[in-house]
Amino acid sequence: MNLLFFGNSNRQLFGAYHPPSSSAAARGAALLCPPWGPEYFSCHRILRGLAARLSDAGFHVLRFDYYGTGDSAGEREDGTLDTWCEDAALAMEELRDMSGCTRMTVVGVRLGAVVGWRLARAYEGVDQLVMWDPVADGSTYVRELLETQQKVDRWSLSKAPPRPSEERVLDLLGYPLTASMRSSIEAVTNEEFRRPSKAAVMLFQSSSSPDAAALARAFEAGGTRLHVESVPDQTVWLESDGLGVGALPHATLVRMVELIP
Amino acid sequence: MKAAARERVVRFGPRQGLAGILSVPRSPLADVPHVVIINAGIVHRVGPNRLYVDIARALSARGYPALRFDLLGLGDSDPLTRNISLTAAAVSDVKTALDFLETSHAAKRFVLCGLCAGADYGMLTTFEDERVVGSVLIDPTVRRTRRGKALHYGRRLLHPATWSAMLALRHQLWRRALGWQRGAAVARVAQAQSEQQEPLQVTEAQVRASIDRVLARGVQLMLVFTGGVNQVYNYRDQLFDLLPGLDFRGQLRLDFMPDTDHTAGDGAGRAELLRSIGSWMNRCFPGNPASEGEA
Repeated sequence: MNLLFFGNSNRQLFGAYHPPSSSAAARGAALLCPPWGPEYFSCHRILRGLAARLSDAGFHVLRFDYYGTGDSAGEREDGTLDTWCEDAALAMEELRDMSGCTRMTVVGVRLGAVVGWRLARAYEGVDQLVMWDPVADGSTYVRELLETQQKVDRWSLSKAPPRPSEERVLDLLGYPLTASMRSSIEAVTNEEFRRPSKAAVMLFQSSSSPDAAALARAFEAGGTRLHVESVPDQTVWLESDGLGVGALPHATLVRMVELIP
Repeated sequence: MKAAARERVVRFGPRQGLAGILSVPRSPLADVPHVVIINAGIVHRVGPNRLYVDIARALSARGYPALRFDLLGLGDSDPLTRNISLTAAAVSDVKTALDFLETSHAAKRFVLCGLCAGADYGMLTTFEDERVVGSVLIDPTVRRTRRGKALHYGRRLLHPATWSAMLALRHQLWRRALGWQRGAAVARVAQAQSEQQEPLQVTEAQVRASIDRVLARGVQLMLVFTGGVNQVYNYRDQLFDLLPGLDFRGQLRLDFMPDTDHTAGDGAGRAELLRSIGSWMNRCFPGNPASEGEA
């Protein structure tokens, strides 16, 4: 695994490139798009585990951090869903340069799945898109984060600021959600997935996700080639008690690597 | 705008198995310690809610080089394969990071910084390694005091959430008392987790003696307690009740931030914490402006 910075010097992005295992037959390239905010942290270990398995199976893999997240440059307040898509496009170019592969698979988790979807529609060369518990409705997603924060506030012995507030930046579960970030996320609706995509979509849905059926109908309405997989493991971003933080959803990762062509 | 630091990937240790990011100031100070930031729990080197990135960059902007890295078994470092305790492995990895900076960056002195488990590992390394001249310990493990317990249960008793949960039969006391499934299952998992946790292999008397020894060595200590641990640490001077009569020799900075969460995730708390650590570094390790060649 090679850790690297890429992009221009004013907007440096961090990446981790996993070359294909020398013992495996070459299978192509895979770009992994992480979630945002609180979900990013529960996902880091999972994406590293997935990258290692894909690399063992013969893929060139790039994990990366959006600008203003992880080890990339920028402040936590920087960025919107649109700029994260631009960062993903830059990462895709970097992976093409490193691997020599012009066509690839994109794997996106939660908001990262929306990034992957937009990437696949906007750019040539994405053959396969794996969407893992995608955020299908941005307003619901923000509301759920806010409700979780309010639950924390309700029990807190500290003086919590009023939430929601009139402030331009809303602190949510340790992350600043700016007005522009929020409006870009809330613009995500099921309608978006009714648009056609050349990439085949593999939808990995946790059983507890309420969006699964509606999302599948949206893809089918747009004529997208779709395969739905039910995720048997309890995924950390959907847990209420946080007891499985750090646990690797082994069966899901194995299945994902099996299914990616 | 140009960032105040250049950041680069570093690999070090046996088989280059440890991975980190070194923030190198664009306007460095001379004769100052390097800062080494230690993982909080299992969160990778970015730190909870990106706290460690912010600390590294804030200190680099003030002229201090800062390394955030992953202990073996975490983040992008190799797996931990040696059959030793997690605590011993962590202290060993931190010393490996100091060796690396000493060898490759001519560093002689170090300030360790960590949150939660990272603070505990930082303290233990400070006890053992004389190259450490300062430690920033955010929410380290401490014992509750009788006064602290009374304060905590008093506040909980007066808290509206407690009463609404009690009246709605949703309070955990009900769950425990009645053995309801979810509460019982959660309690069992929590119990199993606590049994797996590795207690720090030191007694209170040893900790006191060790702190006394590092203070005699001239080590500067900054301790921060946030509202995130207010069930354990809940009044400013609790530290002095825990270590009565210990002479801190003017080498202790104690910050009590009851309205900030454990990871200083909120904007105001984060800014206050970064400012406080920065000003403490400037006071304790002012250094000198670097000559051309050192920049």
